[in-house]
Amino acid sequence: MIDRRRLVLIIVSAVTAVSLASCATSLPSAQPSPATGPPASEAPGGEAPSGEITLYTSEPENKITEVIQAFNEDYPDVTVNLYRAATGELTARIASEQEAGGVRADVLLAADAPTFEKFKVQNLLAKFVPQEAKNLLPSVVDPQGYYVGTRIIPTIIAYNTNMTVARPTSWKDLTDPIYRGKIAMPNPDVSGAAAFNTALWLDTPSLGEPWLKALVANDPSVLQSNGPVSQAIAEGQPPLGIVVDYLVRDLAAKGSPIGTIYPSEGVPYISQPAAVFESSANKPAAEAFVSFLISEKGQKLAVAQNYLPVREDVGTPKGAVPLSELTLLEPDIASIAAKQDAAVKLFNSLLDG
Amino acid sequence: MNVTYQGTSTGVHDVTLEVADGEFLALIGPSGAGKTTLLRAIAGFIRPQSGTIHIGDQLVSGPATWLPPERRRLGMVFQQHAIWPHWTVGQNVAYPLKLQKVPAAERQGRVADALATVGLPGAEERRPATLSSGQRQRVALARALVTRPAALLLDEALSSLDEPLRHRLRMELKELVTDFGLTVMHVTHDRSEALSLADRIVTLNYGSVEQVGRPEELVANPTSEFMATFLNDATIVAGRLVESADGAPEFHTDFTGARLPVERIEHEQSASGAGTLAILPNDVRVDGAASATTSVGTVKSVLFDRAGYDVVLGYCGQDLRIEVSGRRPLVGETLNVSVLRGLFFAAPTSADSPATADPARPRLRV
Amino acid sequence: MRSQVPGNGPGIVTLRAVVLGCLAVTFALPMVAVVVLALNPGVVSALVGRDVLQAAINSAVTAGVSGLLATLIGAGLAVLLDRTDVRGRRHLRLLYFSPFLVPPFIGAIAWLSLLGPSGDITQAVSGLVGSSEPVFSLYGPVGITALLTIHSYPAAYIIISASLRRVPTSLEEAARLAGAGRLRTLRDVTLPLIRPALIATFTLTAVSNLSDFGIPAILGLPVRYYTLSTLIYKYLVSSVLDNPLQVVAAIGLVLLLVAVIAVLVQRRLSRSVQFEADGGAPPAIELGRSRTPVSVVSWAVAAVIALFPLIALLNQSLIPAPGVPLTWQTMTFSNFTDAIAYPGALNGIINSVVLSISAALICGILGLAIGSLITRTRSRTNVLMDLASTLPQSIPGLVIGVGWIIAGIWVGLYNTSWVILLAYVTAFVAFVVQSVRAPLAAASDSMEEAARISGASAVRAMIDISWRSALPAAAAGALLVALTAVRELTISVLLAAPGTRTLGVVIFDLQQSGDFSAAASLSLLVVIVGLLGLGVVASRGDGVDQSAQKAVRSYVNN
Repeated sequence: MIDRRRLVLIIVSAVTAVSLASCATSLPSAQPSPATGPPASEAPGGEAPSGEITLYTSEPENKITEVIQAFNEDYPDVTVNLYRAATGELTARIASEQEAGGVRADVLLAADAPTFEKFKVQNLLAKFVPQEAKNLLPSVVDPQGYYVGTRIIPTIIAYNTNMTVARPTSWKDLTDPIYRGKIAMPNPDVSGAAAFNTALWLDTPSLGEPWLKALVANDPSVLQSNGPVSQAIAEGQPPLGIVVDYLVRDLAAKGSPIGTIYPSEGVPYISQPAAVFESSANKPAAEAFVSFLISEKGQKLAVAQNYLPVREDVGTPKGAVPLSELTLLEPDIASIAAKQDAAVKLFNSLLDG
Repeated sequence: MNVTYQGTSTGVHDVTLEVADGEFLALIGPSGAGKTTLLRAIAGFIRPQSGTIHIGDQLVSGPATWLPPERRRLGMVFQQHAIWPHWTVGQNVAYPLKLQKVPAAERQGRVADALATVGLPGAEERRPATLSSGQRQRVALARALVTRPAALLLDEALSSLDEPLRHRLRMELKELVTDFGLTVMHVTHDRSEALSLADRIVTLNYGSVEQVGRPEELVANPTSEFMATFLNDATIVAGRLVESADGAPEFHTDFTGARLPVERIEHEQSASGAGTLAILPNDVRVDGAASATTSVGTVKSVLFDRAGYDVVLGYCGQDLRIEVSGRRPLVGETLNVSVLRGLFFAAPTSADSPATADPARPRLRV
Repeated sequence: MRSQVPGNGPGIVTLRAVVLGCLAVTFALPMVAVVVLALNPGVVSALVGRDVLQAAINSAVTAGVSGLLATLIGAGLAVLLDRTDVRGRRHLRLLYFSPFLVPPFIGAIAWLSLLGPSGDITQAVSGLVGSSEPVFSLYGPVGITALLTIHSYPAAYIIISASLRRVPTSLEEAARLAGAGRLRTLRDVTLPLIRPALIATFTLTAVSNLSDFGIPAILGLPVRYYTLSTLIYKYLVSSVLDNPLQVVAAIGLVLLLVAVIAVLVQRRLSRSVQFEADGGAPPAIELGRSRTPVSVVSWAVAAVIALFPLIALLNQSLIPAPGVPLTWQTMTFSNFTDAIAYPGALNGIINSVVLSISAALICGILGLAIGSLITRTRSRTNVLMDLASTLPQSIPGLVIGVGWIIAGIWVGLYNTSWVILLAYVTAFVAFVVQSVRAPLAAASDSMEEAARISGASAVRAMIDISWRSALPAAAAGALLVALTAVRELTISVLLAAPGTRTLGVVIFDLQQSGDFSAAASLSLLVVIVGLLGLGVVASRGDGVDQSAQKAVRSYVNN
């Protein structure tokens, strides 16, 4: 009898350890630096946000880690639990959590505005306009005030600098048979940016469905997400690809033989929006995190991380074309949101057919 | 007492036994006779279907009572010693005391005493793996005795040992039992072991008692054909008991139909007619001269035995097993044989004939 | 009913009830969950849909072919390593055994960096034949089949080798006396005798390959080649279906039935031939003049299989960025430091370590209790306990994962570490049961009876005697649980949630998100720690060879 009681104790203590460990994502909170305290405006009533929030994001692990560290310099009392996955996987998780008793995240920071539009319609998001929203590019701020963009992430053509064939200059060029089997692109089922791009291409009169058909006919490698695409191009197999720009700059900075091409028709971009979930139990902290992302400090960090910023007062990443010089494909977010699912289906059917 | 043990065809049926304080009782019988079943029922590993078992004044097993083995205050030694390999000798012997919550200090002393008693003083720290089989059995004995049990049960306790060692342990055991006045029930399939150790022997066959008695009684006067063969290697001759002209019984074999020359036939009063005659090896003389009661036998095989020679004779159409001392008979030699005594056992009548084994029912009856 | 075996005292009855209760949670609950959700009229259309059928065919082909190849290679190795005089057999055996120690998904990551479209070997070969395109790629069915084969032949070898050893030498000697040569004897007598073992090996490896997730995920997803296991994953992580759980449960139920049939077939077959080993290994087949060439080839192949993945992982870990050739100048350890520095990675390591130790402890105790009840007592429920604890060994991990998703939602543990822990216990308690069964069954009844007579109650006797003496076996089984769980992917990839990701999931996610170097660095650490762990086991007495064999045997035996 005694032995059995001891057994139960062992199990209980072992499993307590598990549940403790499951909180271990939380980063060590740094002391606030004396120079930059939390902005007074973010703490109405003088009480700084505290407690835990859970962040769902599609940001690369190392980048979001730096962001959370910087956030904790200003808000040492907030513990950010991180869950990182591709946008498609985040959407699936949020959907399944809704069925299993409610979304467990406080903040969503992921690829594209249309995804947020869908959540907005489902009443999952809380209305929140950060004070500094007025300093941002108007196109990245949701007019209804449910989300704000945090980075401009254009999708461009990347190439391996050792590539022997001539470089393409436009999206149209990619349908040229000389690039047959030489193009990598992300899977729109998984990548939010890719899903958005597909809808936008279809919506662009000079490209449209004929172009998409011709592109698929050129036998592209459809890899899971942008990460593997940039990796594959850097390794030269295949030597060309459609990918978000900052990953290319990241790899080039580390020494990979990879470069960017801005197609002449213009580049689609996503704004990596951030929003607070309506179900959040710690809205002050969640809102502080979103505000931090678009603050001057947050945006300077974004630039340091090779992202194009959403405000004009923080500069441009090294080696990037400044936002003002880019030809952007500016969509109507609501219409893209409506067309995205159909676009992804069409792409998949072209690929399978 | 009735015992059924499901799944095997070993059962014990209608056994009534009383073991006196300080008595050494041996249980023997051919394998499957139920002797181990009986012992295990006494130990508490098997629950009898009916009947009662008392240990001392205490009822341990009855229609409404059943004490588990751990509460019967018995000691037991198993054939395969059952020394727990993960503990030292000292821990093995101390375990029963530990369960009785004997204080550690007292425990130590009693373990040392028990080990000294079995001839292994100071072996507390040894690992069972380093012990010889004889030493292991001594440890098992020490473990069984350390709590001063009401009775000591030995289940083929010496059978796994090799001969000279086995003999020595037998002597030591007897000495120990006598010194401590222990009550012992000893199960063995070894006849000579039972004969040499026991105060009283219970012979089981097909789950019931064949004969109970002192070793001397059993050897001299087996009460059944089974006892005659099992314990005494008697030669069994089938035939008929008939009254001779002078009123004395005489035996005619079925094989030849002729009279078998036997000096004296012992039989139950009522017995006559068909039956068997058992001739014990010691009841045959071959050294005498030819006479009216002798007949000629031919030596067929000779085996050397400690007590003399174990000889098989061709005699009146039978193979007759006898014991001879003195000169070694030669194979083929003819000898004058006189059978001093024959034990007649009447063929069982249908009323009390043994039921044949019914495969559907595990229980065997006699 | 009268108690025929008085050993079943109230204590044992309580213990049995507790164990049955545990098994009801660990086994019955997730299986019932799968069945309940699968038996839904809505899923039939999805089940016979094109995607599922295509994935089923893909699964059948890759698992079937790899099972067949693994069995053939295993048989060949068994003859080569156990019956011939090839040089350095002992060490050769270890090298050929090494893929078993590398988690399959890590093997896939490693071989991919050699044989993928931009792999080092692919590039070299493409350069040789003057092609700018990769001449081959590990992506797709061929690569999946090859990797499945590499990771399943060691287990096949162990089973076949064991059955080869059980063939009585006298049967072979009789053939020799009848005039057959050594090879002729092998062909005419030995191989026909182990045919049932060969068929059983094929069944086991094919079923186990059917449920593998890591290899088809890493080598199939990038080229949209789906097997049932990766299709389940796709359905769960992307919003392709409206009712993913029901469809996934239905696929799980089909896999479950396949596994149960395979187990039944395998049990039947392995029962058909039982030899008593008569001791003594038969003399080695002398290779004669071909001994040296055979030895050289065997060693070369073994070296490739054992060392190339390690070299590939190392290579991938040391380059600063993709596309940069590895030289002394470019070499960097930053991938290791970065990989460890990710809070996600650290969290994954902690989670996996805590989960695997907890699972090992629970499996150790529960397995010991089940093993002792099965072997030391008699009860109608013994068969039930035996099945419930050991069947999950043959059930695809994916089914267990899916079962626990549903059961987790039911009991409100979904998205917690608890659900992963429970799934690990479901999947791995069999290791301990198998490990303790033999020593417990071999111990004579009188060991416990002696304790009863000494004054111990039935439960006390079981704990003091049987449990204590089976403790080393239970510990070995628990260690195997820990080593398996710490690098587990198939189950945890389905159950991991924010904060509860395991090491395997972290590595898989890194690979999926394109951070190959970080994935490779963590993989290399896992492999090295795994080898060290086995070294520790091995140093505790018997050689690596034996403990590895023991491990596999308890891994694959039913």
